[in-house]
Amino acid sequence: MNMLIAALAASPAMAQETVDLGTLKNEEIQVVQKLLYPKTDRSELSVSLGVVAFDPYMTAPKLQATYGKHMSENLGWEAQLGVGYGLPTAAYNTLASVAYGVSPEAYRYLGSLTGGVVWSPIYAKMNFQGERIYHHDIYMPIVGGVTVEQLAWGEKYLAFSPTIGIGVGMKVWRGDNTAIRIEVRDDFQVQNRKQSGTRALKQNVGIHIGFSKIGEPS
Amino acid sequence: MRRNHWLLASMLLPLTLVGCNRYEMFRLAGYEQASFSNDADLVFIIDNSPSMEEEATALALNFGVFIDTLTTEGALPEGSSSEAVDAYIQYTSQRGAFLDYGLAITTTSASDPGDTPPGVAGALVGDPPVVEDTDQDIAGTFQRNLLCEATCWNEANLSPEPNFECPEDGTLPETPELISLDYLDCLCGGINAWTGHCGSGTEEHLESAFLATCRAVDEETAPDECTDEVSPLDAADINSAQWLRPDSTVIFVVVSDEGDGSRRQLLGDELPDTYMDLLDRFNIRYRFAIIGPNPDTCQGGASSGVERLQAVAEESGGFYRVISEPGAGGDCQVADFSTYLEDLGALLNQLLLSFPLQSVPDVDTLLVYVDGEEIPMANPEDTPDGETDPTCDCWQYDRSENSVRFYGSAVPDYGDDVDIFYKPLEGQPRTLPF
Repeated sequence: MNMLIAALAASPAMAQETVDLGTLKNEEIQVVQKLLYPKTDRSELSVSLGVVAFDPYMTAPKLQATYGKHMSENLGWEAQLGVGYGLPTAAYNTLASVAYGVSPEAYRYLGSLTGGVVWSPIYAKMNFQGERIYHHDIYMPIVGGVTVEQLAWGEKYLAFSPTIGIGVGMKVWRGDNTAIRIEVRDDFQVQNRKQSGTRALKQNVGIHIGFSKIGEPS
Repeated sequence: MRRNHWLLASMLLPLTLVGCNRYEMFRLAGYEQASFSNDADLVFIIDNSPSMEEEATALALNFGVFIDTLTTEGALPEGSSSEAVDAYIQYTSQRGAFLDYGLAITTTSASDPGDTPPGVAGALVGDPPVVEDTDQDIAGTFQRNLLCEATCWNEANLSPEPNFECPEDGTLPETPELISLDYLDCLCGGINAWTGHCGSGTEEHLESAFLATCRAVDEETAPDECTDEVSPLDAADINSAQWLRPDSTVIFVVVSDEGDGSRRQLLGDELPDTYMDLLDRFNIRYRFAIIGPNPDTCQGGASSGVERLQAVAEESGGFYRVISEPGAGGDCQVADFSTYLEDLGALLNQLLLSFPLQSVPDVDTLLVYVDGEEIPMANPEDTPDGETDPTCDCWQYDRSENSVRFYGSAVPDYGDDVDIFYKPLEGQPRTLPF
């Protein structure tokens, strides 16, 4: 009898209610790993070798020195000094040969001085062949400055051109204070061409690879 | 997060524009004074019709003047610095000495008249067919080729010279004041070896120039017209004559008392466009120096085709001279060939002063450099009244020749590099490869 009374009084069995203990949702995840190499408040000095490529008539080997400071993990400033010497391409030489007798009003790269901000939105690590983990930054320099170029023939006029550059780069950390830096930057310049009396928009695409020394936090 | 993707993509967009740089194109005429413009290949196109006997004789007898104008020096001596200095002085005072020239002869007979005389259809006459400036006896060898194979002699007009002494050592005989039967027998190496060389009655000067050039180039360079249905040549004739050197200037020297009757143009055509277009396709620099009929007085019946010869001479930057002029008694006489041959020598020398341009330039954009140094253009005040040549050390654009001509000490020296930059008025003359 007692058992009957107990059975009548019981309610159906229910699952226990979920208790929110503070689990992160996907859209709330900002960091997936430990940031092993922080940049905030650290200076960076790098030297890169590069080439100003993709122009149909001139290709310039280039040496670039960069100095900058990271104000936060995502943002910093830097200044670049580049020097080089544009060499005629095979296309230029073919055009200038007796067969075609044509000289493009091409200017050869001599140097550039630029400065601006560096936005580093991505910090990541990658695994290479399952053996080693590389920590790296993906960053974008956005700079302005001046580019000096010289007409490749004739009076060899110099052109000092206002320049805006934007690019993308990767900084692969080798330790707390050093990194390999690979960068592609497209410099847009407004060039006054004295021989023809024209003004032209010119792009110099530089591909650089170099070595960075990162200072201690100030 | 989505906004950041768009921001990143828009910032990378400029990288897709690489290689879009645009440039103004300037024409470049680049020369090297010694190796380019001092090579001249002269092709004499001789009218070997019966009426030309007197004129051919005048050409042969005066040919020494032409050689003297050029001098017989061929190249700079090599060796000590003093020799180099001597050579430099000689060069600057007598630039013609450094012309490297070859002389060849063909005839105005583009068709075989029947007995197959030498020089038909642009073929070269003589042995050797090309007389070079390094040959031992340039004038003598040229005379032999001309008189023995490219002249239509009438035996009745020649007199014997019993006292003529023919050299027995194989050398060519001295040029006499009067051409005799015995001289021709000696010069041509046999009795009557000079007879039977009369050409076609239809003189085709321009066709002969075209055919001679067809014979001197390879199959790739030769236009299809070299072997088309109206051409007397077949494929075996192409590249059969070796007179055309790379980068040389070709001078066609026409000697004739008739107008041009070339087959590819109508009889009344005054302009030589058809043949100049054909010659342009060989990609050679050429000029026509024409000693032709005098239609106003002496060759009134030969006026047809004369305008065409005059036009081709003018348009190619050469000259036209009349082959005969009225004498004191009103009778026509053979003109002074010595003067004409001096003119021809001057034309050759001028090759070293004038540098032709491939396109008609915007004159304001012309820039001229000799060994990297800019040479100034002549100003109007540099040319004294009544003179045509400026007195400055400068250059001047010659519209008639479409060339840049140097003056004074600005004339490039031996071995100097000459670069001429300009923007063509009407685009590029040929499709660029890029």
